[in-house]
Amino acid sequence: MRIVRPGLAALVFATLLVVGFGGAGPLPPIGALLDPWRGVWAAASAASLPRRGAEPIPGVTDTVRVVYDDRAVPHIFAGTELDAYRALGYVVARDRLFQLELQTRATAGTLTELLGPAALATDRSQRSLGLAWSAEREWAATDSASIMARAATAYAQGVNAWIDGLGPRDLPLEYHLLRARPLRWKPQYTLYLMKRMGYTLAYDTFERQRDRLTALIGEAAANALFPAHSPIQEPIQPGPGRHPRFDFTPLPPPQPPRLSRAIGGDRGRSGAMGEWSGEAEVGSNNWAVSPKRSASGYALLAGDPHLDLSLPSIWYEAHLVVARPGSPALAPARRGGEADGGLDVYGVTIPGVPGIVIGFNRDVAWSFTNTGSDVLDLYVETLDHNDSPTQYLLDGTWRPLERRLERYLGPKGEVLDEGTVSYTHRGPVAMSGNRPTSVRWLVLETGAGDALIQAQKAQNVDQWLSAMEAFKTPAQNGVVADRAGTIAIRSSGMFPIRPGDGRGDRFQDGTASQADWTSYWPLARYPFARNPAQGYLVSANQEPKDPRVDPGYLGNNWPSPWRAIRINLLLRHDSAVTVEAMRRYQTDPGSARADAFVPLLLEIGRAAEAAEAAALRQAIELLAQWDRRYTRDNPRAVLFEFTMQELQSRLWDELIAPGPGTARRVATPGDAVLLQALHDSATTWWDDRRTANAVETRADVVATSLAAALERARAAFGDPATPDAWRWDRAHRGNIYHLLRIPSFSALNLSVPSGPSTISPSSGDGTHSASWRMVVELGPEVRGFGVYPGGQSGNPASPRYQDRLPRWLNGDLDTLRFPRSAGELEPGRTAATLTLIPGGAR
Amino acid sequence: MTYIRVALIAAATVVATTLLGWWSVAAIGTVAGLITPVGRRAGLEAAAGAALGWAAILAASALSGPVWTVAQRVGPVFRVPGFGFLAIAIAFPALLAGSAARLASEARRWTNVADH
Repeated sequence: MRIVRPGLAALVFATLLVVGFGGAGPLPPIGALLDPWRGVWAAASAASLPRRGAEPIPGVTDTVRVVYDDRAVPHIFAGTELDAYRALGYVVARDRLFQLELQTRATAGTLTELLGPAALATDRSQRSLGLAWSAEREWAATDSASIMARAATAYAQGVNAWIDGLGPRDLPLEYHLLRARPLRWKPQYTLYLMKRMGYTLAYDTFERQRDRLTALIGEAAANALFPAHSPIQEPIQPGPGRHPRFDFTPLPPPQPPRLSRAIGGDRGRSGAMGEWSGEAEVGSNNWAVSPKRSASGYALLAGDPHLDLSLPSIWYEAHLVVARPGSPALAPARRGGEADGGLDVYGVTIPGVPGIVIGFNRDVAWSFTNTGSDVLDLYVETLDHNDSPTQYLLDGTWRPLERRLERYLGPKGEVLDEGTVSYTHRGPVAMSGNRPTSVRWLVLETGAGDALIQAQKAQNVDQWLSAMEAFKTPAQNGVVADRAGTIAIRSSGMFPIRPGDGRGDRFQDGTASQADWTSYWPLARYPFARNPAQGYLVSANQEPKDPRVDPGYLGNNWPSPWRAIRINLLLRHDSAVTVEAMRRYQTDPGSARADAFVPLLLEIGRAAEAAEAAALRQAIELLAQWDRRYTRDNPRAVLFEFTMQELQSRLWDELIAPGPGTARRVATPGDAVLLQALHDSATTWWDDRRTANAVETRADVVATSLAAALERARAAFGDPATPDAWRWDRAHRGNIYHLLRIPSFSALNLSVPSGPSTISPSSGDGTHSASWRMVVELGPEVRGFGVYPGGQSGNPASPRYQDRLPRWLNGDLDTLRFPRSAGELEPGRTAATLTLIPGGAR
Repeated sequence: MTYIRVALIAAATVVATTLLGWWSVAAIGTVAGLITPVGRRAGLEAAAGAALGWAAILAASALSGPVWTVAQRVGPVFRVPGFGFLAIAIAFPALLAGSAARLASEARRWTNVADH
């Protein structure tokens, strides 16, 4: 015993020291982690903003006052525009430091330095895109005197001031868990972020799927199933003629497959069995109502950009006010990028962006939806060697490839891997199946420029549109309204003009420079409308311009315009729109898709003779009871969704590529094409090629789908007569993951009031939805309302981490406080103040 | 005297952890083991004092922020529930200081035996 106890003590002591200092296996060093003063527990004391604070910031030219309101929104009152961006960088870093770093590393392909070898595949993929290469190149070419460069530099000073003053108790939780220290912020990281947005919104390599589709079903059928123009027209640019318009024509029959090209290559995101819909039923909305159709007589604007949701949110709310020094009144905004001009803008910024992306000022409000234009082409290249190429063939001459060595480092600086990314004059080279292809992608060539910075200063719609002329990519449908009652919409961005038939959804010949883009659409040709007769403007990612007005190629495979149809319907029937109505519309549970499909399914189903007659009868009976709304407790939406899935899997059997493993559709046509097929009983697509001895008809397929959907619903949710058994929110839940997908930092299994194709759509796994909802009334005093799913703080322990989630889930909006001065905010609504003073020359 | 010694160790743990870091708990345990009169339970006293010290810091933190929320969020990262993570946070300094004190006490006893 004399030796055992001391021996045990020695063992415990040694073990704790080893684990305390060095960790064990997946465990980080637990000494530093558990340290009640400097470890994870410090997150508790950093959870709330200190009531008062004063910090010196390098570069700040005059005192900046930051007042946090009771929603934890910083109202920044600065003497100059650049000071406002410094302060914005500081407060964003204070609340979202880890997010700033993670999104930068995700773009740069340096996640391994933070997360280790597990992120190697992601980094390799990201670096092969060339986003960081492009951002660095663009930054090097940016005029340092431009407002963009100066704003990004000022913002970086603010971020770094926070990092430099960071005590161990301020370190975000994630750094503790990863044993990492924050990365210093470089001004060009703002461009990284913009490139990242370009990747999110404008990266579409449909050529690969398209190539396999053509091999499977032939060119004509591929063109019809994935058309350049939507078969349902409800364009962003209204008229002429009535909309929605259904341009349904018979679908060409599928051709016999050419298997060599149909097999292999990559598999698209869409088409996975089990998704709620064939197309990505996600997207953003915005609309504006002119004074003649609003109850108040003022212009109204609504916007709800839909993105992958995360905690913390992609958005951060802020208010920037810049008055001329010594003047109580705000100076008028000036065009031309003067850094000391007036500014009074409220809205949401993305951490990393110096300025407000979506929001309003004292005169103008605006919001965006993604245009989804095709700005990426793949060129099949001829290389001197496929394994380690140094040259590519162009116009009969071998040209040198630009080769960049990519080195992947681990958290301790160790080299994990190396690789080379080659570039032609078009962009990075990657393999598409067994073919080397270079990527020409507008996002790698240009960006948003200073458009967003200038647009936030506009005093009327025309100034805003003028500022947005500099916006190059990713193209956005910008809706804008002003206090004078003007409303407008324009798809802003560059739209390439291609040689030949002008389409960009097929592989191009890389050996000829004639295949390169020839120019871009002129501004006058952009989808655009201003004060239309109908009194409102709507965009919801649909094809922006009716091809009867302009048949030019902007993109392909447009989302079916169900949301646009629904919003137009609601606005058409409301001649006295209110702020409250706008809010309600944003989460309207109605579905134009259901309105289009259900009567047709019932009609065809009732006329069908099915083997499973009883099941079919019951399915029809239950579906006929549906009110076509996706409310949480709706008992029939699930049957419709299962029916749609069954219908797609039976109808599009020709699109299943043969190959190893589970057979999957190469791609799934959009619901507009499905509806087109449903209107055509004679098309041969209804025959299921997998049944050799039978020829199925439309009635057969619809009847079988309805019966099968009923069985699935019964199997999954029980007897439909049982109250709440088939509740929609039992079938469909929302999930908002933390940036590192840590479940305990996430908000999972949420009951969301939305469904596929509703105005607030939600995808199958519920991770994509309205990332920000905003309604603005442009009266004498501009009133704004908004909410996003999450909270201002990135600290998972903070009460501000996801405090807005309940209101977002209910479809409620908060009143956005828009004080003209620091003193105007009522004391009871002031949560904290921060004074930033010149100094701290670092 | 035991209570006083435990309180003193706790106070020293608070100060040392705040100023130096978590590892100072081991040093405090060692010192406690060396100065505690022979025959006393040096290990237990040091363990109790260190646990009390860290609990005091956590309690103070709880006055300004949601310590329990931190436990609930971070615990599951290591596959332990919130209260388990909190318990580990108290047990860690206790075991560290207790084992250090026990070892120091043994070393002192062995030194004394050798001297005699």
